[in-house]
Amino acid sequence: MSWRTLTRYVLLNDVVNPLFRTTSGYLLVASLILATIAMLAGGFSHEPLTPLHRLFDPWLLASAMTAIGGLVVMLIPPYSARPATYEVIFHHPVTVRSYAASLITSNVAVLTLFNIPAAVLISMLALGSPPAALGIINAIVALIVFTLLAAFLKRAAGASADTLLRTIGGVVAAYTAASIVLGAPNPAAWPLLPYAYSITAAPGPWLLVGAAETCGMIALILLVSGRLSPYDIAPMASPAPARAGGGSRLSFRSPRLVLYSFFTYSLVGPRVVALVAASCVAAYAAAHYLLVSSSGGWLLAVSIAGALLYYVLMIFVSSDVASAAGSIWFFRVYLAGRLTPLVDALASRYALAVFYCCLVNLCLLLGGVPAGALLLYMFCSAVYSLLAGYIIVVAACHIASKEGDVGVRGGAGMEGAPYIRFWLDGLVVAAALGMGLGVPFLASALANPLWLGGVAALPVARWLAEKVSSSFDVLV
Amino acid sequence: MYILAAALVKPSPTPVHIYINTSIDAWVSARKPGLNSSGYALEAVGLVKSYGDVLALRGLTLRVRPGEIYGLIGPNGAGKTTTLKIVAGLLRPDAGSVRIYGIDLMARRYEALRLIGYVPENPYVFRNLTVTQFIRMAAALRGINWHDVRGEAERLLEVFGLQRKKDVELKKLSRGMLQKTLAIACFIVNPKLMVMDEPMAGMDPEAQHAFKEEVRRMTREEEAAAVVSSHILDMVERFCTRVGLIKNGRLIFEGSVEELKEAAAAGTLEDAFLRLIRGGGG
Repeated sequence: MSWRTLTRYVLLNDVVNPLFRTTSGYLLVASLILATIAMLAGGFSHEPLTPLHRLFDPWLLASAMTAIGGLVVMLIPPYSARPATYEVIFHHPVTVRSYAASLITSNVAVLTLFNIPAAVLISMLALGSPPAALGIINAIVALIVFTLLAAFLKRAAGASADTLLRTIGGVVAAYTAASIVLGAPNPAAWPLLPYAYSITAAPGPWLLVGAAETCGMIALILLVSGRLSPYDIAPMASPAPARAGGGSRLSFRSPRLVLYSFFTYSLVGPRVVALVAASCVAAYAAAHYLLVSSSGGWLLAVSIAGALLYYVLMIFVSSDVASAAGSIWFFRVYLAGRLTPLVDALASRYALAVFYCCLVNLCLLLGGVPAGALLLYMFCSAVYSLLAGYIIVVAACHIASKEGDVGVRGGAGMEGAPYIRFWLDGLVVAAALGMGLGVPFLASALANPLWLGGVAALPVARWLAEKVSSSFDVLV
Repeated sequence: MYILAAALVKPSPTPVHIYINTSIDAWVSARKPGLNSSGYALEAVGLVKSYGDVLALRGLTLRVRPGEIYGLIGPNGAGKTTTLKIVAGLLRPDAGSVRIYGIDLMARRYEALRLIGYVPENPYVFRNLTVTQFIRMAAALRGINWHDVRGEAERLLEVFGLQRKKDVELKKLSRGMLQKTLAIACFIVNPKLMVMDEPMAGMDPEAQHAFKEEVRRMTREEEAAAVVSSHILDMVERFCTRVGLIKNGRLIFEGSVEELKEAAAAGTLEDAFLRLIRGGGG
């Protein structure tokens, strides 16, 4: 059995069918293409913004697309690291090596596809527009609100995820079309400023992320080398004698698979985004030279060098970006056996939302926000994210508890105490979110000397960038 | 012919003698030559499995012959699902061995699993695949060319009333329809051992009939074996050629339905089941 066979059906399940067998999928693909065109078109424009144009600013469009991309990924989570997957495939003669290969392929494909708007966004932000970051913040807030709304609507009105996607996709498509019709000119590109900032803002992977990624790498090597049997990655089955129907219930406690999941999400995904982003930046830089700039061949060389530098730095930046999402994913997977499906799903989806929250930090970093404001933002975002995550999960628990959907699995004797179970789940998830969000944010703000050094050097970098940029007659 | 196994039964107000059928040896001697060295489709010996402090299986031994439909019955938490998951290669026992047509499942997993078709208790599927795609995946994972089994798949879809749903995503199907899909995915790979955990849960009567007919056909014509766990004792009584009663991780009875009723001095399988379960043991 070839890994390609398994990968084919995994991709059908995770990507192709959701996109091309539903109205919402068609709308999302269309809006993805339109948004990319709009952003690129806007990026080449040098016309000043009017109030009407500002409403349909490509940066806002990009923000919305990023939010929608996040929402799509959240609503269609990749299949990896789910107990059901194990049961679906491992009674067939499937090797661990095939399984690992299909996981890598499918996750990279999913993350790449749904992060295209984010990649374009990063590319454009790399070319400089601080107000855009504020738009992104709004989009992230909208994303969280969407998530809340989705949870409430799905429960309250019985709306399916597909219905929600269709509605949201329709709105985005209309918004995109309006943006193109009305035009979305962008201020002149600032190709050099973000590169200078990137140099100083490189945070470097901190100890926890480095250790986790190392473990993930080891787990991956073990998986791909085929030295593990399916039993080694099997979810732990636990007896549930009190549940009707009896039988064992699988929960995910395999340390190796937890590490593998961590690896996939914290290492592979962001780097793919970084690669796409760097490609976009390089393409933009080349196009800028060929179509707009008359400054000479050296600008092309500087732009491409900057793009490459940006890519290298993104590798490091993405480590931090991934850390929050990875941490939450870690807790989600580790705790999956203890959480109800609804809370479980919300936790995994929220982990991906965190990924986009982290992009905000990256954008702010690249956008040149003063160091003090950045630190304040980092701190606030930690508190804010924790609270938002807690509200989402507790609200979902509250709704679900009324339907008897909340409980600690296998907890004989707990059936008669829904509110105890509700608070247990809520607290467990809140603790996971707190660890996943608060710690990485605060740690990167307070405990990373490289990062702090980068922040401290921002004013110097800005001064240097102004000097360099002014010599190129580029607006700063 | 039978071994008295009363030692397995704790003292109870109504003493029950329990017998374990050992007539397998007679069958083994008459088996088809060249089938395998042991002659069993399934030979699980001394299975022990624990989950933390809970001992789910306590040395369970199970032997099933080709052509048999073996019913595994027992109360909730007795160890039925754990047993079937071990046989299907999803769980590793703490001790004991499993052989599928003589092939050691632990040592030669991929060869052994090629002979197995599995219908799980919970309808785990890739929810965004269509019915046809899921069935094709099951075939592809066994290296079976779709063109070779397409006609059979069409027939099974027709038999189970899924022809009009074949291009519908699995997430849109009811529990019963998912079970039908899983059953078809099991049959399509032409397994020599069908491992089925509550396979008819949620199926309508027509589909249940079709399911039983298909299993009977495969055991009769293909000489496949089936191990089916179920709580529906009426179905077990009419469908299974032999039954095993599990309690607390031990097989406390094995034999035909008639032998079970005789052993428990009961008129129906349900009465026999209740007597043996309430009578202690295990």
